[in-house]
Amino acid sequence: MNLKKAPIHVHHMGSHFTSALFPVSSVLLTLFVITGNSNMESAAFYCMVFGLLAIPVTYVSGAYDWKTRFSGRRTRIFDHKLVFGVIFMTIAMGLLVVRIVWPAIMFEAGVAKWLYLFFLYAATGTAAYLGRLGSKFI
Amino acid sequence: MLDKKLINDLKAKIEALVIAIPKEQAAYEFYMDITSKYEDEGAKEMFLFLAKQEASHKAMLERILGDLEGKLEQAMLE
Repeated sequence: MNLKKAPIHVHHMGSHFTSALFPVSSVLLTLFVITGNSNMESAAFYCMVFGLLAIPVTYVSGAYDWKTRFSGRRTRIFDHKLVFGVIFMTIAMGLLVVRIVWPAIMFEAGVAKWLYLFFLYAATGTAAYLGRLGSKFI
Repeated sequence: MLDKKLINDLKAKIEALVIAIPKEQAAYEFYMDITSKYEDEGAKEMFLFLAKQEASHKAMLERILGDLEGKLEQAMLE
């Protein structure tokens, strides 16, 4: 493998993890809300964990690719990818921290669980938007 | 007074070229890489020709990009 092209490949591979795992996590958590099956809630959490692990790898490799292959040029697509990448990471980390500190969040009545679900959907939407922007390079 | 329509139009064109230029570079590298894999002189010549075409596309796009960036700078100053 050409090592010079490694960051491009890493970014593409990493983005598939984030683009897949957050939507799956959203679907699983929605299924939990509908069915009450706690396995769905756990599965949603673990999908999110692995999705979050891929985010910094994807972000850094993408930023490196932008700096090198695209000479760090500022255009709307790159500005959005950089900013929304940070937003995505922030929401995902926030969700993970909340879930670790409050494992029963989805099991208790109240606004918190709906906010948690909302932010998971927001993270999914952000991942989808970042993927859509990335598709313009293919 | 800033001509927003012109500025947005220039930015869109610049963005398209910023995305396109590395693709020309990648195509050039692809053909140069293939050239080394063939022993047949005719095939080598063909791929070298194609590589040069990609290199000239890249040079042309870079010239146009430079032009557009100049126009954008001018438009932003007005």
